[in-house]
Amino acid sequence: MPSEGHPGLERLERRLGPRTRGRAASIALGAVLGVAGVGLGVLLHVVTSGASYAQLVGAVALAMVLGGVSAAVAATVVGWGVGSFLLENPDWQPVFADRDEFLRWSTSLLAATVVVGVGWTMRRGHERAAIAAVEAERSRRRLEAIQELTASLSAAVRPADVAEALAGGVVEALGARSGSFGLVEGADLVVVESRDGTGRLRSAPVRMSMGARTPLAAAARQGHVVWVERRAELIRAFPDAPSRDAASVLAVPVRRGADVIGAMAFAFRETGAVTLERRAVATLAAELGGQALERARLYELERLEAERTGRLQSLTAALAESLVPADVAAIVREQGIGTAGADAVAIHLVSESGETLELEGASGVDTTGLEALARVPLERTGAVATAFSRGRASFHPTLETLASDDPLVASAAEEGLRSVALFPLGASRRVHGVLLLGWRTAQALEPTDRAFAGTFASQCGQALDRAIRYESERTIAETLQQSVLPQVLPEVEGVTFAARYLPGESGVDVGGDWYDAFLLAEGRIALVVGDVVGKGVGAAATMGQLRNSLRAFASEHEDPAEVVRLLSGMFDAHVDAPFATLAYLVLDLHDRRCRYVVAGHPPPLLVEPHEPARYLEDGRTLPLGVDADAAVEVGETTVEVGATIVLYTDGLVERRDAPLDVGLELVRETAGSVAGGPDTLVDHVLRRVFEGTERYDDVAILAARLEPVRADVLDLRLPADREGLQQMRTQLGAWLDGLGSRPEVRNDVLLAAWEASANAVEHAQGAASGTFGLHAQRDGQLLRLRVADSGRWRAPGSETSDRGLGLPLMRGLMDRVDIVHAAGGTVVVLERRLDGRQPAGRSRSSGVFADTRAGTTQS
Amino acid sequence: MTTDMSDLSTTHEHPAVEAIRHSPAVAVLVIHGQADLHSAPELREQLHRVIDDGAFHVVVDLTDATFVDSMTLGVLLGGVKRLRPQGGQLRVVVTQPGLRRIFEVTLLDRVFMLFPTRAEALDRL
Repeated sequence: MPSEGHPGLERLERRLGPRTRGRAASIALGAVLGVAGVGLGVLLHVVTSGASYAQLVGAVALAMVLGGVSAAVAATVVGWGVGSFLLENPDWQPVFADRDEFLRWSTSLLAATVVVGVGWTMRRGHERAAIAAVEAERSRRRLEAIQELTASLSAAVRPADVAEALAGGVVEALGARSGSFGLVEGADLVVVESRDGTGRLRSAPVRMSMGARTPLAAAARQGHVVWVERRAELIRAFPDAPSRDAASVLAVPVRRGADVIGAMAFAFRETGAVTLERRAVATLAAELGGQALERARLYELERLEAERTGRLQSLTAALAESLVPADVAAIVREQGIGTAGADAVAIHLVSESGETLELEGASGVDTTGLEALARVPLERTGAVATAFSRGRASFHPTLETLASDDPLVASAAEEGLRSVALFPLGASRRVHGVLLLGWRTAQALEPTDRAFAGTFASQCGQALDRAIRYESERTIAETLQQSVLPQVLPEVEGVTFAARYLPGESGVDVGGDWYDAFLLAEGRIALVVGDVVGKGVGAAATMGQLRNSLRAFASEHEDPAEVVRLLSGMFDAHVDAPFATLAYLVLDLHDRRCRYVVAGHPPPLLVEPHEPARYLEDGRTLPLGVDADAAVEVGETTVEVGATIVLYTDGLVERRDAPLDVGLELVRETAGSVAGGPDTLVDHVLRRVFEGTERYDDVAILAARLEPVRADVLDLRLPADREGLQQMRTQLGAWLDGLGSRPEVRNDVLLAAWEASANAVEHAQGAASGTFGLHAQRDGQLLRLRVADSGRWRAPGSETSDRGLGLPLMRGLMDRVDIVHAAGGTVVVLERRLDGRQPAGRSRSSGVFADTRAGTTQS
Repeated sequence: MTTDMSDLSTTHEHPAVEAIRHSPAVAVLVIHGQADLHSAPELREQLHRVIDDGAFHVVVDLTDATFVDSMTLGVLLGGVKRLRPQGGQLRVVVTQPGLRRIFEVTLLDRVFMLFPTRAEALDRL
């Protein structure tokens, strides 16, 4: 053990110490002994009546033993002097018989002195050699200890490591019983202690006031070395000193540059243990310690900086994901404490009226404790309101600088916050709220801390600003989009609709997805779903343009290809968006024929009863805006009664984790397996597709199902030919059977309808559409039929006489016959009561020979 | 005999007009199936032919007709007009009440002589 050599060294030092330090005392002792030796010789001479100098020699020898060489020399000189005096004095003649005797006595004394002196000197030489060896060993060990200390100090990266290395290592180097190391922290010293020179910590760091009456505090306070070497002095000068069994204490200040940043103190059991050597070692160690502390501080700063940067980065990442102000507030609340290193975080956002700041959330504190800050009127003064209105950060290391009626003071007191920093939250002059950071221990809020907290607040402010601006844009876009989507879907006999629009869940912008369904002439309906590339207000506006243009074109042009061509041209000429996709279907309710064009859009889905659902893959063309001159072909299919057409946007089938085929197949399978109306189908598909996954994109979906025709309504559009007439008779007959009409009524109606239809067919010859329509409706007991052609009316009988019987026949069979001429053609309205009463208006005068043109109504 | 005309699609073949020379002065035209605007031209042609061939009276037998429309009536009316100057008659055999009603509501029952059977129609000619 390195400490083993020390006790021997200490013993030796103790023995040598008095000689080097007490030469005058030795001389005095020698003199006393010399006088005593002479006195003893005189006494012996008187008693024994014989002179003797042996006594003086003995006294000198004793002096030499007790007092060393100096005492022996003193004894010799004094003894010789006293002897001479006695010789000269006649009264004392008997001491020396004569001069010769005195000379003999003197010579003997001198010889004895020389002998003893030589022997003593030789012994001193041995002792000095031993001391030198021990000294060499000691300095070697000290050097080792200092080297060890230097090494451990270089390895110390934190101030606490330095404190430990010092407290332990220097104790060893000094051979002290225990040591303590204190770092100045404000008005306190944070003290680490060790004992036994082992470097083991005796206790966790404790705080000691700088004003404490201890050597450690005194050294830190005064900035120079302090030591005491006696227990009594220690107790008197430093009553607070903790070392109960120490006699000597040495304390040295630790400096960084000119500043005292701490102190070290070492306790020794022995009195007077504070040698120059020890002071030098302690001072050297303090210097090394100061440098190590500076290194540790720089390292700590760097580490803190890196850590703060890391925390800021993760905060920034989290903020980037949050798109609504509430999300931003939540993230600041959740991460603020960890990121900013505060004990409390609170956020205020300005209210809609702009008159108050509302507490949006807080963490690290009980919000009830912040009651005084729950609503801060901006007209009131106060640190929070001021931070907002001036748009400037404010730092309050203590709250004493604030006005006593500031609500912040009451809240901080309630929650035990001692330091507070306030930051305006916003970006580029737009302030939306205030961020409060609070600490329960007093904080100096150094410039670096302020800068970091400021960066933190600025990140939060920018995210908040982004979210608020985003929110307002989103609101506008949503409003625009909602205004474009149909409020109600058309009510058409024989078709039921369902539509849904779902905005993306992950807070992405409002998209350009839209759908529309509307009636066209002659029992046709149009179904549209589209997607404008882009997001936000622009896309929503484009959507509105497309929707309106499409409605206009669709009402003018029967051919879906022509409609899409016109729309594409319009898009090229007038729309800002890069391109748009679209699926446009026209469903003819008379023949259930469906004609469609799909411009760069996912294919429509046809769900037929008893058949696997299938995509309508024809009629594909380029998206709008790509090439207005691209060929547009029309797909065509027949839709059965009970079948559902499903139009949708890509958000339904596109999945991030799977190719498009998977999404398409999932929708196809799901839609095909649903029993129920379009509403059920749409809800089921949406539920299945988005089960357990986030909906990233907007989704628009529109479904239309062809329903079996209601019993009291029959709507037919048939080709204007013989086949069409037969169809009419078949279907109308079946319908009338379904109504349970009596045979004569049934036959009358069938014949009248035939006559009207035959007329329509005849008129339709050469007309564009080549069709005629029949709409039959039962209203209570009244049956009403409308037969419409699309040609120009020619008066019955104007061509051949054979034809002239149609109108009289109808009049004879029906209760009422009206003929209405409109721009699009002629409509014959027939009415007949089902209850079998004789036609009311019938009279013999309306027969064949009456004017056949009577009763026609010109409109 | 059925009055159900809704199953016409099953008998939808060209309606036949059968001309029978009952006597030198009397021709019988038997109409099978649907007598409508599509069969009217053939009926008209047959009617003109038998008159041109010297028939003085014509009996049109609608017993087997399933449907008669205004065009057919018009053709028959045309026949009446052609026979009337020479004092000839056009008699119609209408068995079914539904068909008879057509003549009644158009007051053509006053123009044509209607008979429930062909035998009665041919009687006293």
